[in-house]
Amino acid sequence: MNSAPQKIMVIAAIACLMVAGRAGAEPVTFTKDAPLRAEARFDAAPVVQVKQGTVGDASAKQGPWLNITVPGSKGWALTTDISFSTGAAAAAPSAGGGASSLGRLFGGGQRQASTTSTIGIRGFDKETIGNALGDGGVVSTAQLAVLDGYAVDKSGGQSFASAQGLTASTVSY
Amino acid sequence: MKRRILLFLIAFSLSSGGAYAQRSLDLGSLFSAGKDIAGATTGISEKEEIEIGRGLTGRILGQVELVNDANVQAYVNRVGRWIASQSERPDLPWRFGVANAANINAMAMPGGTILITRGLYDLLDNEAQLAGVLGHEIGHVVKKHHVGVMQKQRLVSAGANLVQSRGGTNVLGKAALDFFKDLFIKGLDKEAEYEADAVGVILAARAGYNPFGLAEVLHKLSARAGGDPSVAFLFETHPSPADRLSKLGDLLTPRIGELPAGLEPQIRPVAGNAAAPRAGAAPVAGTRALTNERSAPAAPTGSNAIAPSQPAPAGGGNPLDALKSLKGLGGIFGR
Repeated sequence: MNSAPQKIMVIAAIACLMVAGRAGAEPVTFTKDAPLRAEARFDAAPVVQVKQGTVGDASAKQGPWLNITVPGSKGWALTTDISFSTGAAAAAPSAGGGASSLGRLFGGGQRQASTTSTIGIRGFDKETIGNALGDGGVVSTAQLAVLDGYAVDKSGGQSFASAQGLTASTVSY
Repeated sequence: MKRRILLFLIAFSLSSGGAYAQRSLDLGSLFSAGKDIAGATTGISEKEEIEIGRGLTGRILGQVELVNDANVQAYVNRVGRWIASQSERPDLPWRFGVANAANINAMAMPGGTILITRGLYDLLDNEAQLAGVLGHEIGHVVKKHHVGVMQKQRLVSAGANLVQSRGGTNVLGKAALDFFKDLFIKGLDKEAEYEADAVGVILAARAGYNPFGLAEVLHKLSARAGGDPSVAFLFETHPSPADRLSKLGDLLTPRIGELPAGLEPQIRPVAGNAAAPRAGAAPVAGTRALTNERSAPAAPTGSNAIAPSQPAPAGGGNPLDALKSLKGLGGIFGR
């Protein structure tokens, strides 16, 4: 680092990285009082107890855990403890949650929903159901046959799971 | 995540397809004229439940066909069958299909047929989320929510012709059609939806998936609140995603220590937007041999044409992995 221009470039690079990191964060609001934990484990030490309505930024995910920064603290909280929206409405469980910024911050992901490209395709909605049960509704034996053709029995499901590395566990209701 | 009833049927003089297409049900004897439907449904057999669901499915597929992607259809069946095998009704003839519908919804039919719209499927970013959705719908079947509504709401008044015979085929009478149309539009009660959520996450956990996949989907749905037409009907017929998340949190948080972390394998995306498949279109290799639920021999596992995706630990500790997951989460919650 011998010259001022070099220092400026390094600083600029660091600044860009910081901005890029921040751009990946997602604003969240705690929907209930919950602990922020030091690690993404239920038995990790609590860093701080966060109050319902607290606003923060989620910057990483590990399974059900989100790494969240709130004023003065950073730690891991369960995804069911937060809403991906900000403001008073977000803290109310029955609020839909604005979350209009989610797509902007998370960048839209690698897959695109087809709701735009498939305009014109009928959906599972009142009209479709009404037609299905209405006088003009018909049973598509052809589509039923196609559906049958894709069916898998128990052993087929087991084989698939094994290939995926999935193992069954005993979990009670 | 809709399931509901629309029921009764129809006859299946289905001359093609799988084992169940060959079966017929004398609905006239089940729901005969003048018979109190509550009494009839109280004693509904599994076979009758299956046939009712099958007729329902046929009617729905008469309006919205399956997505023409054999790999995805077979994949969803394998995921769904694995999850259903962890339920209390593992021997039902489970069927899973991705319907070529743009909006975001899913339906469970009595007897074990689950349809998910392409709009919802495309919203999902990993297999744990798919497991959560399918687990919810499987939950409706396992808990017999459809049958419960039939019992609770008394479908019929004395003398109504629920099922009529037309040309040798049993069809649903107008009274039943009207009743179930209304029921479908109103949806199941909230408690049934909450219960299906609870069952769904447990089944996903039993199957080895991150049990919070459904919660992630609910976050995605919540992000679409506020007028998005793709979720309008879903929101009309379900509790708000925020309320469902709150209930799930109450259920899962105290048990987080005992729940397995589970995996989040990659999901298989729909290959294209082709027209719906024809009846004669051949599924991917190996799936046809797996058709018969009860009578077929063990599935030839070696013919699985679907390459297994790379499972990723849900709780991986590598920071880079976490960042990678975050981007996936961005997709998850960002659409």
